[in-house]
Amino acid sequence: MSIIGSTGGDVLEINGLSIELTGRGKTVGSIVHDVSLRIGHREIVGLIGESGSGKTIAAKSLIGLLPNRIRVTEGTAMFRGTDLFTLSPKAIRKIRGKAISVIPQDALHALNPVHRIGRQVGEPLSIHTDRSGSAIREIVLEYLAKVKIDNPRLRARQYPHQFSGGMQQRALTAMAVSTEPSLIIADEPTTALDVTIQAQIIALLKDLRDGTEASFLFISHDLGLVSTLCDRIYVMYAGEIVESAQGADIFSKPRHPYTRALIGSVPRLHENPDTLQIIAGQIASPFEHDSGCRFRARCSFAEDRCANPQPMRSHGGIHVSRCWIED
Amino acid sequence: MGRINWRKYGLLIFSLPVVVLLFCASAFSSFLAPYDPYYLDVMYMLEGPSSGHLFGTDELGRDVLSRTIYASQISIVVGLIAVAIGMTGGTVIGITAAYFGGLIDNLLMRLMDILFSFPAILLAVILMASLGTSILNAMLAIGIIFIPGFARLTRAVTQTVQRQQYLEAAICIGVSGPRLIWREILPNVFGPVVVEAAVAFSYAVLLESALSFLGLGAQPPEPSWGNMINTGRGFIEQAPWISLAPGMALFLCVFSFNILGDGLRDLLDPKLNK
Amino acid sequence: MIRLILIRLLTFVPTVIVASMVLFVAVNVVPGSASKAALGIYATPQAVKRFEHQHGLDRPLVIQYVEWAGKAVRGNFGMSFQNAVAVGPEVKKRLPVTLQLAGMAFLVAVGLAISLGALAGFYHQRLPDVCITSIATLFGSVPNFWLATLLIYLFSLHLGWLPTGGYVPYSEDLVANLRGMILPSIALGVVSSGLLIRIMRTSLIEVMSAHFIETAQSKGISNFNLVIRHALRNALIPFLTVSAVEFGFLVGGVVILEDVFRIPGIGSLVLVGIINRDYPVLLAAAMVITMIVLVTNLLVDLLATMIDPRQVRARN
Repeated sequence: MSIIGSTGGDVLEINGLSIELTGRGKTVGSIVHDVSLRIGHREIVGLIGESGSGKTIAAKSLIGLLPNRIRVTEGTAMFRGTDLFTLSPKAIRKIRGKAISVIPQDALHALNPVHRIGRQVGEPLSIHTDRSGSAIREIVLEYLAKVKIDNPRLRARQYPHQFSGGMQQRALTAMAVSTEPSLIIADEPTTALDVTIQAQIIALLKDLRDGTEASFLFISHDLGLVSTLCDRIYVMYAGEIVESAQGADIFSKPRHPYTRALIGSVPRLHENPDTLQIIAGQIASPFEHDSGCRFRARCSFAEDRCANPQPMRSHGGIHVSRCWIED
Repeated sequence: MGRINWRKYGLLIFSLPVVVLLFCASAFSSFLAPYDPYYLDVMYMLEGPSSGHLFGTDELGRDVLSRTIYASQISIVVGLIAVAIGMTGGTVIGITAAYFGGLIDNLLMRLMDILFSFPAILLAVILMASLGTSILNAMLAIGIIFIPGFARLTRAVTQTVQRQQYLEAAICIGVSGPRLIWREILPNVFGPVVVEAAVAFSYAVLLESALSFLGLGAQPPEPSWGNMINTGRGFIEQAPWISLAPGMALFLCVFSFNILGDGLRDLLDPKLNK
Repeated sequence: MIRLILIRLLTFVPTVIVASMVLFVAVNVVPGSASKAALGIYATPQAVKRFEHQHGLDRPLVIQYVEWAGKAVRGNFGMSFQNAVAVGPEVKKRLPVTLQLAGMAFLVAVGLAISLGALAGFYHQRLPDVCITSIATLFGSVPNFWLATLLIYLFSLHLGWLPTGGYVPYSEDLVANLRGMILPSIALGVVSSGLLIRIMRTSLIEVMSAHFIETAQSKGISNFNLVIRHALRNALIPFLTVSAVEFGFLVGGVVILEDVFRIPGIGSLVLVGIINRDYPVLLAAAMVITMIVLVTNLLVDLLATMIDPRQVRARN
């Protein structure tokens, strides 16, 4: 089902995506349920949720890299006119790293320790284009400079262990943008890094958005981090989208109790830290879901009717949430 | 009947029958063997497999199957005693090195490293040459070869145990040295050593056969798998079956003890189970 | 890195000295065994005394060792008891034969291990993995001398494709030389591949779960290139170290297989020394085999240092 009226210029449009864990041929758990999401041309879209909410799995399904026993069971993902889920492994491999690239999480372990940085950054180009080695080297140097790595000529010849965490993430970013993809999936690109470095990487991504034709899907557990970066934000909980809105609206007018709790758990400078809320309980296990609201066990507003399926409700414009609470 | 956990016990279930069969063969050779292994029957020299002689006869008309069964005695005894020598020596050296640490540890383990880097068969052959060829010396020579392996293993385990908190607690309440080793360290060393012993046993059997094959172990007419294969090699064109039964027996024995070692490892150390 | 290599080279010297001492002691473990062995157990005490004096065996073992080692360093391994011929040149003549056999066998072992091990590791817990793991255990359990016997029966006697044994120098006829080496290399290599396949498999499984593999996959790399370019090189680092140890076992095997295939190398010289009760020959041959093992271990250590850039940094 389409929640937000789609415009023709979307780069990616996911409709009704469900991903399940299967064992011995039958489904044993629901990891992602009925997720719909769209990303417009040159948009940065945030996908926010706790770890285990299924956001990374949802992103991986787009490029055909789901782990063993985890399968897309329903839904479509239209990318430039084709449904990504219907593609053969070989066809999806042609898209992966070329038209859709990934800035991986955990920058400190994402580069192969035995290969030089330049070679790793240039690898997508050598896989997907038939440019010569020297041409690729030139492009690599250009992009290393673009992600503000000083002295790229020297740096390209170094190994990952000679790079700091922030530098490794910059190199990975250069790798992702070097093939001029239409969509870049940034999967918690700052998690492993120091706070000051995080800010630098975010600033770099902002710069890059202005300088490329790419759209971004920015995955994070940190609402505060993405709020300034993203045009639109989807909040995910236990495999479902619970709320989505313009970036600023999520912060100023959160509707879903989960979003409110998330905002509550973002500490702010001018507030008394005693009022810092934490969300009680744990995220529900994928084996325990029923058709009702998946957040109700941890929700302070929970009522009997929460056990019924919750449709998306509009709050004006593109702001929707999966909860009966009006205001 | 409950379901069998194949992933956990599969290797054990597969290897145990062969292991049991082997020990039975050596313990009850005289009941199991259809013929006297030393009985020369000149009428039936180099006879192919038949209902009378399942695996044929050798160049002196002796029954190959009976000799293969009797030969298991030497393999089992050499294996057991060699492993016992290696295990005892290695455990003592390993624990001593870890317990005293420092210079003693360094010297002992450097020596073990060097011994370990010798090709086992070369060391065995040389020791046999200087000790003299006999089954007793074969046990000794093979046993010595296993010492470094067991020493490394027990030292590593002891050092891990030493870093555990309960050992510090034991030292704090005043448990003395020898008691510490007996009560706290040895029980922890036991599991890994048993696994190593199963694998070492298979290797001991292999080494004994190799020595006998070269004429440095069991001496004819006493049957051993190694010297039977060597004899068979000489008659490979006329009578390939002479080396077939002892070769199969040796191979099965080594194979099943290797698997037994893997199975025990899975059972005793779930961390290693991949 | 140069300092690291120097340290490794410096520790090599004491290792060689202790190893040669161990061999010397092993050969002379029973006092007077050398003379008794050379002259037979019925020799008169006078004959034994004369023999021992003649060969310097009546002196303390330490002095004998120092003298032997001093000469051995210069390639002089003394005179054969048997025929009073210098042992050194004989060893030198046989060394290339053994090196060729061990080298070819090692290639068989490593080739099997890298290909099959990587395949099993890539298909972790799927059918190819189960099959290859079983085959690896089978390979590791086959006695090499029995495998050699079976190979001779099948390929030499039954099919007549390859010679049953013997040795042709490669300078004379390269094809005949290689044909003669095929069966011994296989018999020696296959047995060693058993352990190496399993090491390669485990090593590859570990690497395949590393995060950088996912990065590589997200670039759209093919499975083949993923294993070849990203997983294999990383997996080779632990594999190399183990394969050096396994090379030691493999080299030991030449003692048996050179006998089976009638190859005149160092391994068969060990047996010649034993059968003729010729201890200078035995000691020289054993020392050379040990040196092959120790030098290989050294080289592999140095190679591992160079292949892994992290080690360079960690130890510098």
